[in-house]
Amino acid sequence: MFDLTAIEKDAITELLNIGVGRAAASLGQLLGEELMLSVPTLYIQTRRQTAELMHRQDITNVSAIKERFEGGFNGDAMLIFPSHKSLVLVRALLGETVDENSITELEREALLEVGNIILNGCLGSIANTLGGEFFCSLPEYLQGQSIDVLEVEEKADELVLFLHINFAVANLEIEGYLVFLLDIQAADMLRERIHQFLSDSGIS
Amino acid sequence: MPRPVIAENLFDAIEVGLIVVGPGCRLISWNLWFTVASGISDKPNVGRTLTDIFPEIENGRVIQSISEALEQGMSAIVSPRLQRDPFPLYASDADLKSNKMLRQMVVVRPFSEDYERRCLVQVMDVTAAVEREEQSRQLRHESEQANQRLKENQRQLETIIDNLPAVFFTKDSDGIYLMVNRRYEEAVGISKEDVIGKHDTELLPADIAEKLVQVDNRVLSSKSPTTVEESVPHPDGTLHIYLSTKAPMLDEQGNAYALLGMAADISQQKALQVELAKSKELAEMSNQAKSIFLANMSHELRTPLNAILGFSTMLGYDPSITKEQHEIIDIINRSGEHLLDMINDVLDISKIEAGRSEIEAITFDLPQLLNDVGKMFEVRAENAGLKFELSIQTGTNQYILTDAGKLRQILINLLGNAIKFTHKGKVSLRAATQPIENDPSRVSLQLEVEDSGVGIPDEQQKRIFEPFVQSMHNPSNTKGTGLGLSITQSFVTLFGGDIKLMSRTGEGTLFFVELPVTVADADDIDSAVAVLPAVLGLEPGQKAWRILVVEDNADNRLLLSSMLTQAGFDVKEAENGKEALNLFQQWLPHFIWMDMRMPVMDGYEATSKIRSQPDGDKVSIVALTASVFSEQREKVLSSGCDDIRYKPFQPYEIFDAIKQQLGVRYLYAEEPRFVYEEKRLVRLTVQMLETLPQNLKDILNDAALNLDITTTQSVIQQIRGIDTHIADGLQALLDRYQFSTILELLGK
Repeated sequence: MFDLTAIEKDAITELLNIGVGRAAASLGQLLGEELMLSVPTLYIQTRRQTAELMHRQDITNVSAIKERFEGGFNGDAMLIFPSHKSLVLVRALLGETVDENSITELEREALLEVGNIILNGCLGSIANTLGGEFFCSLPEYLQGQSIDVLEVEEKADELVLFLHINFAVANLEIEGYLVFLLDIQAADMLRERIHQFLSDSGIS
Repeated sequence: MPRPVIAENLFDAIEVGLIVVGPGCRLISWNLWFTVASGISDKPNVGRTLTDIFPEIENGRVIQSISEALEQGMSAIVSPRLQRDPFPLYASDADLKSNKMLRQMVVVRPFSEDYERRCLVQVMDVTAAVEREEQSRQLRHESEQANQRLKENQRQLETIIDNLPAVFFTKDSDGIYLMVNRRYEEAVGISKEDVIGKHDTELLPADIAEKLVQVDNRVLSSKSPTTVEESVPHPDGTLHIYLSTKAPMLDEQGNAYALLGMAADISQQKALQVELAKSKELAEMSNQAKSIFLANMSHELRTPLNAILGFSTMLGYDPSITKEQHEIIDIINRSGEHLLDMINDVLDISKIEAGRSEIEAITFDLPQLLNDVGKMFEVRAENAGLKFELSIQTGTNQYILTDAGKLRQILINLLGNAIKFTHKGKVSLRAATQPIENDPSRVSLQLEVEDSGVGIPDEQQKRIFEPFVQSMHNPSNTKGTGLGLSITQSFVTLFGGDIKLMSRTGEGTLFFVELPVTVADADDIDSAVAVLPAVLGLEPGQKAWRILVVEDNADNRLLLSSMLTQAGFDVKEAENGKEALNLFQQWLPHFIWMDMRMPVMDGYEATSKIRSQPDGDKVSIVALTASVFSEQREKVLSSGCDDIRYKPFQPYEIFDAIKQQLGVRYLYAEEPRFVYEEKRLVRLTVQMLETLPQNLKDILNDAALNLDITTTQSVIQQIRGIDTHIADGLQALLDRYQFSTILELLGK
């Protein structure tokens, strides 16, 4: 079982916080409005466990922005929201008050761009800190049942770095999930890199 | 760096903008699409940084993404919603002029080539998508506004309905409330929230709910609105009455899917109506009581008047009285008649108002009645210095069946008015009968009374038939009760006829009366109507007729017994029914005059007691009553009376009644001729003229036959030396050129 020490977990959490912090800054600039993003806690669990957790929180229909990254290790980075929350978020970001149930084409692209900025922020932070480089794919927009978005059936036991992500924008607090899907190889690679980084920095 | 031609061609063939930059964001190449859209060729710019070529992209998302792609391998998407369009690209020259830039979506992807990190920037024209979305946003905005307006309208409607002064509700076809207004809440005492979704049976007592539902169902099944009165308990505990209008609400197929109801609380009006009806009834009752009182009072008035008129008439028969006494008697008579006329007017209007006036039809000779009335008014007209004309159209029916008394009164009223309000010219009475279509048994009797008098102003013509209204045109002419025309109209209505009036102030008045009457012939004539000449006394050689006069009023008793004694009857008097009964037993009269209203024992009781005595069936009993209601007649006859006469009576009526019952025979005077004059009234008889010397009679006869005024005048002067009374009478006739009357008096 993939295992990280508390320090290693803290380190990853810190890296991701730096990433979303940067993303928040550029989003804020883009929107002309202050935006706060934070990722409080990191969990390491399987895809199945992740889907179950969402299910416990009554989150079945989700919207996700997904990017494939390849380089030092490979995987998928995802930003997941309950479907209706994604709408609320994009409209809050765009300053719209329309009460419409489905997302429009341009709204979807805007959401993609927002997800793209956040995910790039996180991946950039990881790449910068842990060394090596990634090629990241363009973001894609997914919508559906959480188990399908997470591909639980095919890869139930693969590991997931799972973080809550909180958006605070325009008097609104929206909670989503930041999810890194890693295969066994990638997980090992990640742990090795962190281990290396910590010992290089003289922390462990 | 050479590229395969095919790749070069593809690069230019692609319908999006493609830019390839190398490290430091320096341009390697862009494709044809981008050259066309930007208007800038890539060749001269190769090696320059992108921000040099397009200063507007500095600090933007695109340049930042390109840096991240080159440095960190990140891909990025730059959407048109979050920032300005990065590149100055235009679809056409026209767009360039109007500065209408292409809406752009930019995708940034890193790739490796020639051992270095490069970046492919794709610029896509999303103008159509953006416009489409803006359009749909606009539409959405408009529909939202429309929605808003709709909601406002609905709120407005709800406010109106809430504040309607009536209860308002809608129910579905199962009777479930869909909407109610505030009045409904107040009327039933249940809040809207508790009413909506419920059925009447859950809200109201079962019997009341059932009635409401019945009406609802009728409206729904008939699909037509209805208005009914409904009772619903009010929160104050009383039952309120509503005037409810219920209408079906129909869908496009015409099916009733709901019911709409409006109800006004009419409890107060209802209560008022009941009160009004009560007070109306009370008023009518008291009016009727008044009328009956008046009728009874007039009975009391007529009884003493009967005595006055009776005695003065009797005195008038006495040839021995002086001229002065005669004049006084005439004044008494005329005043009495006038008083009687007025009492009769009051009586008539009372009967009419009490609804007790009815047609009493008899068959009579119409021209004779018209002539009688005409004669009466001819004299009056002459006295007033007027001409009088009576014309009866040729072909007028002679015998008709109708109420002769009321017809006579109509004529008397109209002619009396005509003479009263005419100062010069003439008064005419015209009569005719016209067949009535489809009714051979009846004819329309048409009477016209025309005068050349003061006329009736337009504004008074409408009110002239109301009681107590007299023409105000000439206030000096206001004697009388003012009831004449009102009575006339009521009688005309009673006949089923019509009265019209045409008048012009200062020119005269025409009254036109039309009465439907039944055609009759001579055989139907009622003999009782025939007027008999004055009775002088009993023919000699008959048995001694015993007549009992029963009357509580001493004056009337005396009048009646004096008349009968003078005529030669044996008469005894009784003051009440009890005395009458005693006298009957002792004296066995042949005939009894029975007053009906008496103290101690009234006429009804006395009559039935007498009838039960031995020989009680042999005596003739005739009732004498001042009662004016004809229903009294039945009562009188059923008590055992043979006939009935009314007070005030004419002497001939009294004698005629006895003759009818006993078959007695009278000696008659020749019919007396009456001559009226304003100042003196002289009555001449054939007997009086017989006393004159034969030679004077002969000269007078010749003069009258020749219509010789001078000779007649000289004869009268001669007579004056013998008898001033006779001379006055003849002078009056001469003054009016009544030679025929003079001849009649001479017995020719």
